[in-house]
Amino acid sequence: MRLEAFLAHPALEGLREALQEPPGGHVVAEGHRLLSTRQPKGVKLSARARPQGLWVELELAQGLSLPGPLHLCFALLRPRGLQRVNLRLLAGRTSRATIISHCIFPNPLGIRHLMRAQVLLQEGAELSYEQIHIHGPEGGLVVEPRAQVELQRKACYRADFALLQGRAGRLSIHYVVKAQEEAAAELVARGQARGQDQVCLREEIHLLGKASRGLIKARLALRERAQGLIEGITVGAAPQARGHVDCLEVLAQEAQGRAVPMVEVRHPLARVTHEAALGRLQRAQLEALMARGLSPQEAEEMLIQGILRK
Amino acid sequence: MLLELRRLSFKARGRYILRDLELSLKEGELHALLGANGTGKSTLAYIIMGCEGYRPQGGEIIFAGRRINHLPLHERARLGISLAWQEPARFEGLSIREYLGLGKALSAEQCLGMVGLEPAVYLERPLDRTLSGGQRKRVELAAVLALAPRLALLDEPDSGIDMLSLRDIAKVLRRLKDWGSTVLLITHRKEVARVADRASLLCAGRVVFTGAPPETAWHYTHRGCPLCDGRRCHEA
Repeated sequence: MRLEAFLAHPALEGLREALQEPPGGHVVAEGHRLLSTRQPKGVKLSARARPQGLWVELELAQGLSLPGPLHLCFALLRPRGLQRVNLRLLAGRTSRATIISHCIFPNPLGIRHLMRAQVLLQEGAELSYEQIHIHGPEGGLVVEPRAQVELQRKACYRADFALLQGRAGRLSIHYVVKAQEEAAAELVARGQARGQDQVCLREEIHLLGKASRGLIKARLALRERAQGLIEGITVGAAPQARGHVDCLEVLAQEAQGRAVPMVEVRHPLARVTHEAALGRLQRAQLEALMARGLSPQEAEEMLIQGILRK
Repeated sequence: MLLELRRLSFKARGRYILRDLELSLKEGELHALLGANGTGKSTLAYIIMGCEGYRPQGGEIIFAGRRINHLPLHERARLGISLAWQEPARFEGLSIREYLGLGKALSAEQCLGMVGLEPAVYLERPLDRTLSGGQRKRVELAAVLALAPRLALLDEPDSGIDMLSLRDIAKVLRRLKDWGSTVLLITHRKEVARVADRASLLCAGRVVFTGAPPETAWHYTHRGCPLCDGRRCHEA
């Protein structure tokens, strides 16, 4: 498949313009086929496609400040198939970059998307990693993103996983971040599920260095018979380490949810807090919107989209 | 008549909150409903709006000549009924602009200006806990303005700290009246009721007096109820 034909798919509408942005690099793959790569200045990009999977390596030069986001697109346009992605990312000292990963599965009837990422941010590096998932309405997919992230002194990492369109299928996220002295990590995950979807969001931040910071924020909207589990784990193991876990699940119809915020302190001068809320959509909120003329379904959708917003 | 309530009764936990209540609102009328706390004023607003758990056990609600007892809340809203809650809900992630955008009669900027909130400051703010109670109530009034409903139910827009002044409330009411909206203004402040065309006094779930606002206010202040002389005769 050629890149033009790939980008002509209606599900990729938003991506077309993004890939044309002059300063940004990109990697575009459909299944285990690489369709396009563009290496921006200051980034060492290596991408290989094998029948077993994709291997992508990105190295941001020391002191580099990427003027625009670097786009990664991993898609499966056909209804069935497997996509394995192995991503290694190194952000050199004091480099700054935004990476937007687009994971697009428009008609999933039997799809597996397995992502293994290893990320290292050297001293003072700043990286924002946004993962945008666009799924079709069928829900026939298994999505398993895994990431191991190491933050050296004063590095700053922000990850945002968003599944705002389509069914989740079986989604299982597991991210682990280890933060050294004065490093900061923020992990945000936002998703929705319906039908028989099953979602597990497991995010861990280990605050290993003095004055390191961590925030885990998870938002999950479950409808129909979907099931969800949020596990937000923060370990404070150094003096002045500060962490917070904030989980919110809203449920409608027969959906079921669990939230397990786990906080652990291994140093007397560390401080970690948590909050979790689970519950049905509030009747008062729904009625306030319905009193403005929205149907119950429209009101529910508006509330959920609000909750899932950044 | 735009709204007629005939022998409306509502019971909760075995106790009558409203009993054989009769009330009529003319098209374009600004009608104040006065009454002490616990007399059923807010309950009446929820029943007219069709909120869950507020289905009357007896009586009829006639809106624009049509019986609407069976209609769900959103269908009543689409007929042109809207409610400004006394304690409005808060929403995570929803901005004031989006909330006001649900109405098409007036722009969000105009609506905010009319309730004394600077659009440049408030339009993009979320409708969450970061707003004070008074600010949230002003936005609620603005949301009703944005809809220009045929019937606006305003549940104590004057209550709480940092709430609109009587002059501001009168401005909002005038705008609704200019559009031809009918307003049921629920309050327990007689000075607020004075801006209305007519006023009714509620006692123990019944309308016990309807007349000119000063006269109704006099009964409210001096005797509580012209029938029971302040003893809540209808409770028995």
